[in-house]
Amino acid sequence: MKIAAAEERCSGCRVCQLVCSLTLFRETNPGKAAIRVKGEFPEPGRYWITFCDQCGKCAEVCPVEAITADGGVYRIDRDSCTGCGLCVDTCPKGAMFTLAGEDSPFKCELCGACLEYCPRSAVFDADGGIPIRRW
Amino acid sequence: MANGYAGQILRVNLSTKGVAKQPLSEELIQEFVGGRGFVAKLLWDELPPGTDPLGEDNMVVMAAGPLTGLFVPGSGKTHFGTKSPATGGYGDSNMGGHFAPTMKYAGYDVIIVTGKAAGPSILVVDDSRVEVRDGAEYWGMGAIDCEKALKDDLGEEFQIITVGPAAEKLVKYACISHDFGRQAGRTGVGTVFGSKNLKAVAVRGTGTIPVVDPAGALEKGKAMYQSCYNKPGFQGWTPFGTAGITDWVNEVGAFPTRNFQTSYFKKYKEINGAALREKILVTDKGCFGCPIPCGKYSRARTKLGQVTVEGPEYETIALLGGNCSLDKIEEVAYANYICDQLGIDTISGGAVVSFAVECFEKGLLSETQIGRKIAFGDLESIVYLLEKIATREGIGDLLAEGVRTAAARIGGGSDKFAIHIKGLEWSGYECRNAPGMMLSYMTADVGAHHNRAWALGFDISGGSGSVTDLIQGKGERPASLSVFDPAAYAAKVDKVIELQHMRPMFDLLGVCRLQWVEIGMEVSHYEEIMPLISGKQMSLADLLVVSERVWNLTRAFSAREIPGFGRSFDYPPGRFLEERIPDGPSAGRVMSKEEADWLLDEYYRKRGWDENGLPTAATLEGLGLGFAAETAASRAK
Amino acid sequence: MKVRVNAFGQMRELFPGRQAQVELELPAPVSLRDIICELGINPLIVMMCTVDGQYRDKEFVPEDGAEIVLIAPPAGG
Repeated sequence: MKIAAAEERCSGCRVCQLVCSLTLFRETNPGKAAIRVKGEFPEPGRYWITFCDQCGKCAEVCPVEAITADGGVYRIDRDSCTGCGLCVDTCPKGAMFTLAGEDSPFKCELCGACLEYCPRSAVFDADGGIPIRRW
Repeated sequence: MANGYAGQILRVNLSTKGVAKQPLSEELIQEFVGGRGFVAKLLWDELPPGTDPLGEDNMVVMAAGPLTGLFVPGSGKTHFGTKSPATGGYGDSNMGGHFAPTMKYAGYDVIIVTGKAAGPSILVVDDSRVEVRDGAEYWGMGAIDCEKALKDDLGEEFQIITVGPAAEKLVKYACISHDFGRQAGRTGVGTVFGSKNLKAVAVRGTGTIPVVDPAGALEKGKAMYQSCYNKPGFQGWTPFGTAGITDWVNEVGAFPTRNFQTSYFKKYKEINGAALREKILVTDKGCFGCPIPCGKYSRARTKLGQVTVEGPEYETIALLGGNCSLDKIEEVAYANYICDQLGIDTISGGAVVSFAVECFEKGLLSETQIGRKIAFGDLESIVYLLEKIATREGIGDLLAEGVRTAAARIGGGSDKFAIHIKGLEWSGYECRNAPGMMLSYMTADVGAHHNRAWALGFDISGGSGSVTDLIQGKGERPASLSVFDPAAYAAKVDKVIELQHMRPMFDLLGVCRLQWVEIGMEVSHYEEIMPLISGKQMSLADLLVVSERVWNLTRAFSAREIPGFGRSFDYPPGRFLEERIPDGPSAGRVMSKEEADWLLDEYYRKRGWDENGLPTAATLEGLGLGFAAETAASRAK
Repeated sequence: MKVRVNAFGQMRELFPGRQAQVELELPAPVSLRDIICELGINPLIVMMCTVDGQYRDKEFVPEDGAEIVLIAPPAGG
């Protein structure tokens, strides 16, 4: 599974954020999603999607090696994490997110829920494993 | 208590800048559910009878429902309510976007604003920090410009509602704007903001909405979304949104054209959904949690300039397009943008402008009074009038009052073609050939509005309620619509009542009804998800009882607030009772006063209302509205 | 020839037996308008049709095996 985005298809609905926060944290809270949508209005009239593409730069900079690859997916070991925030600053996509009241940030672990539920396949599986909605 | 609600009512008094937070009561939840239900009950309980709609004591109630902000299709709706400056009675308006979900993440199911700020102000709600701040730098800005300025100043995560210059000038049909293209358009909810010197409300919410069974709610939500995605035709409906019905409404002769002089616009294909998609679309744009979306964001170039705007959706195509005879989608989009920046409801705005043009054509308004010649189909005329209205300059001052008041002052028989009911201008469906839809408009609680009971399809199908009782035809109008047929009309009354409970039910839950109405998502999903959210059973039947309760409460509210309210407020304008449609597929049709009376008699009887159209004490008590029965009894005397 | 006709949205209320889908056997190719009448529905109530995913007007004649969707008018907004 490889997450890719076609931002021109995004409608700003945030279904991705809802299904993500419920999957990751069992909470209805778009602020706790590892994918974010932002509108740019009134001009030019488009949406931007922030998501992790599992590039691994966070793992490279982590001073305590709390972030490791597991089959192409980078995961944080929350017990080892010291909350230094270097990964948050380093992430080129801005896809490492802090949680209020917690040291350890959180990130996408490629569960694919957003790819399955995005109504418009604005985020989709570039490997073709999840059906794409196009019209 | 984890039950899908945020659990608090936020009260802000603009006169004192006082802020209070109050727990949401179990009783309010149990009896009124949320959204429109909260609005109706809070207005009844807390608005002092006889309040001046533009005075300090009027309230604006902004309410979410139990499903707002959750992982449920279309969970982005905000319901606004007030005593309407346009009608003097119950006013409400439902808005898409992202505002009410954010209210709930901040911890509030309801925000109530009362009083009047000393100067232009904005209300900022940042989770638990609530502040009335100086808003002078924003006063005078277009509604869209103001939202952009506040996003820049406060942060992009804030969800913001604004009013435009029209509200500041107390135009009676000023709207509330949000998310660069959504509005709470009707009944002057924006006007009341303006009367309170309130320019905007900005909310940021970082919290979680608690539900009883998050894992169960996740799975059920997934099933609801999949149910939408799997409907055949889902992919066919979504490209055009509501603009997609323009063709059909013309083909059945129900399209507002030239101030409802007729019901078929020859150039409708230039302003339909396909024209939007082909010529001006920039992006599809959706509300919170929406699987569709119906929203279309456009960029349009006209001789007056280029604009980007969300829309035009169907009502705007009807009232600024056909009703003003604009025959290019770019021009409809331009007029849409002007209304959106000025903060004018496109429905009432289009109705008032087309009324003014007809007055001019008939010599009831002169070129001198208006300041120039105006004409149907002329974008410049329309923009000119909208700008005059928003500033209350010249003729704009009269037109800003709405068609009912304007006609009363203009005279000359113009009241016959002041197309409104109860002082609210008519929305996008001509009904002289659709008696069920006509009844829907006549009895809608806020005035002439279509969305309570969209019965037009029922009329056109010649429907009498059962699938086996169809009227066959090859595309002609069913015979029953050519004659007044009491048997068929009785079924229409039943259908209107049924829809008046079913459709506003979604306004209780705080979600959009298009997933059910347009896509056919099974309504049983809502029953099934409620226990996972709240831990309690709430069946569709239970919800429909609440909907009926709210329907009667809003009627009782208008009866309390509008002197002499009753049957006489339920009739359509003279045009619809006296003039036959001159051309098009519905040519020759008119509704007679006899039919209108028959429909009202039958409707009141079935509703348990008296002959004057007021809920009886027995009906109110039966719905748990005994507290309103006393007022009803004293009114009846 | 056979066609499969799907009801979208409120159209389902008008389909025979309120089903969401009906298979029709037709002795010869006919227009969408005739197919709709065959179902006992007045074509006036059908807002849009798609055949195999493409918009078609009511005069269009579908082929054997066509997947037809009839869309009822939504309610504006």
